[in-house]
Amino acid sequence: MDIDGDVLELDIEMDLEEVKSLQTFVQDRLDYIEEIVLLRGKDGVPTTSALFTLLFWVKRQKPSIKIDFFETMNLELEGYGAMYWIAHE
Amino acid sequence: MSREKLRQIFIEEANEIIEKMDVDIVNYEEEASNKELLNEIFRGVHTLKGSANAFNFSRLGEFVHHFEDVLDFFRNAETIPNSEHVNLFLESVSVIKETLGCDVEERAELPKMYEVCLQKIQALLTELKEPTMLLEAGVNDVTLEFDNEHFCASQVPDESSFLEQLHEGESLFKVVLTLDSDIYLRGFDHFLFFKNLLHVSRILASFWSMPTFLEAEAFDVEHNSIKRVTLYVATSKSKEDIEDVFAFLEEEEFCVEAIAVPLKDVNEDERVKNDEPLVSESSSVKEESKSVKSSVMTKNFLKIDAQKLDELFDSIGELVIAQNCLGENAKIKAVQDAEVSKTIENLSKITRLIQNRVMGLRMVPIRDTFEKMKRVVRDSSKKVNKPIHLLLEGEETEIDKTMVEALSDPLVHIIRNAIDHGIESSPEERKKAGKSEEGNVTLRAYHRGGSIIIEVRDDGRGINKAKVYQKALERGIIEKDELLSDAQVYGLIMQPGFSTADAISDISGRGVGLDVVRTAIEAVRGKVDISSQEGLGTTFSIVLPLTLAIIDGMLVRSNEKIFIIPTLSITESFRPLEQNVHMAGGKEEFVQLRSELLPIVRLSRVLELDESASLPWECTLVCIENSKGKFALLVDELVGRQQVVIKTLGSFLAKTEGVSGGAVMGNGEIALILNVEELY
Repeated sequence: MDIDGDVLELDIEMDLEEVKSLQTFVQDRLDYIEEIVLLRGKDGVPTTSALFTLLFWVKRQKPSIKIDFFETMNLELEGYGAMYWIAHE
Repeated sequence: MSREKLRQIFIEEANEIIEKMDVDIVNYEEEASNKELLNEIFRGVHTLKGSANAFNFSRLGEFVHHFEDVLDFFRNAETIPNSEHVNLFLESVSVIKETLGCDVEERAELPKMYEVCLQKIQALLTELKEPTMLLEAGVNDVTLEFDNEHFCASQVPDESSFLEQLHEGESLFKVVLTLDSDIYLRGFDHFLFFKNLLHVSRILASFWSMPTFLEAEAFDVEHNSIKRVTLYVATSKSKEDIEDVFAFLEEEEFCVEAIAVPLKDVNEDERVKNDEPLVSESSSVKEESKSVKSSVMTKNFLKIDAQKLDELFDSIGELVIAQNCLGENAKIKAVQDAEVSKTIENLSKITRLIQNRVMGLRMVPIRDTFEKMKRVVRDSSKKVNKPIHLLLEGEETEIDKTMVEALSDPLVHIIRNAIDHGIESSPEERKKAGKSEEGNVTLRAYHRGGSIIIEVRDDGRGINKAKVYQKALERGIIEKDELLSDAQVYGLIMQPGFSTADAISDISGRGVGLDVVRTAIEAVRGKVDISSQEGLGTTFSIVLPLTLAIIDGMLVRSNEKIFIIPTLSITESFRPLEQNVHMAGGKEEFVQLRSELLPIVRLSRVLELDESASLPWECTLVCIENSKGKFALLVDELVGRQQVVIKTLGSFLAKTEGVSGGAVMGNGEIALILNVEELY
């Protein structure tokens, strides 16, 4: 996890403990974070689904925030195939 | 068979499928719960898809592929398509029709609506298809939720695309995870199962049902709020092997389902035709035996090149002529032998039988043409916002296939005209006139004499004769004080440029339509009669000969030559009394026929055979009705009535005024067939 000005960079492989910390971190800084970038290595795959739940929560709290995988649809993961998101109430 | 020939067959079949699809969808709209009809539509689309791809009609194949997915969803789901869905189906058929045209002509551009319609289909698929969670949870797509156009819904694939990704020997499985909120606390994670699944399968894609209403305060990242995750995996292992991955979960938290087996053999199309699901590889043996049975059953029909049929028909024509020559031969007639007479009589009977049977090969029920009109009525009705009920009668009536093609466009125009101008503007106006709110249009076909009559009847406001007369006067179509019968007044609406419509509408009233209708019908030796009663409705009757190749003709003699007049245009014939023949201006001749005064047209003069003027009361007058009205054709005498095989004249004679073709008589001589439209 790295914050550069108003851009927050996250590692896609972060585990549940890291995501819990992230939640606390983001909650306090939501006002000035403008963009979240998901970083992943060549074969990098997510470790926990909680990361995505959190990112959806963030987007819900601040719709103007830019989250790269929403923008780019770049979710073609090497081993896990393509991920598609459907929102429900 | 050459590839080009196969391609031609495909194009022909594709057109048939598309036409049928159009009709089936309109019928389906009337009974949307009819799964069998939906299956029928699906089968057509499936066949079209396969053939289109085989012949490199890739754009057509691509579009049809998506359309097939939509239909596949509905035929397998409980959901019944609503009227908007049916609208999209019909729109798709129109695009398919146009795309086929583009592909056939190898045009680079696509139909205008191609992309739009494809997007609508894909959006509908996204709404309907897997992730069915979307429907179940009553939710929105993330794209809409976050107003993020890059999160493109149209990129969501469907099951069939996963099937295409299977390697040899692999099967497709759908895994649904509905994990409890405490999974993280239990040491599990969705991605843990993803990781374990990789040991037994390849993950093709996953669909995540994400919550969008997470309370700011109550949200706890340690509690799973992802309701459902659906994965598609490819594997050569068994269902049990996949289920083992989830051995530590509760039973209700996961579900593994085999979607299909990769049977990529020739039985696939047959299986779809039989509407049987893919179950297992072992079932392919049964499928094979079924497909054999099916192909045996379909061999009751034989597809024949229409050109070959025409050639056969021509030969039969020659046979009829030869038979007539034999019957008329003076030398044979002179033989007073009962056996010879009987043989000739038998030959005559057999020839007529063969002629009728060959003619029958070209005859098709008018049903398909009528069924196609349902779409026309539906679209026109929606366009002008008038509820219309279409009634079909006499669909079994058979008509020459060539005539069917020529009839289609005129019929479309007459129906549109009936809906646009015939039927009252609003249900209120109809109610005021004591009629049902829904306008009625009846399409009826029947035989009368040697003709086929096709009627388009509406129960609208009828034709305002005075208005038509006035309009014709204003446009210089008729002259002031010209006396016209009712039929002649109604006939004026088919004159070029005539339109009584106060405003030009999108579907008719362009002032060219009915003129085109008349021309098209006359081109197939038919005519259009109009009858109307103001306030009650209008009937357009298209009168057509049974076939284009043979006409029922009246043989007449003029200047020692035989001519043939199509009996369809003859109303009567008579020899006038001297006192009933009048002269005008010293040149124009008229004959008084009951209350009518008809101009006399001398055939010998029109065809420039002879300038001498025989006395009308010593000749025969044949009363003919063409689009301009009635006239009396003066001929020397009537010879008889006969069915004649029409022969086209060579290019040198083709444009001879007053003549439309020729026929070989029994004595071997040629007789010209008169074109009554050009005689007066």
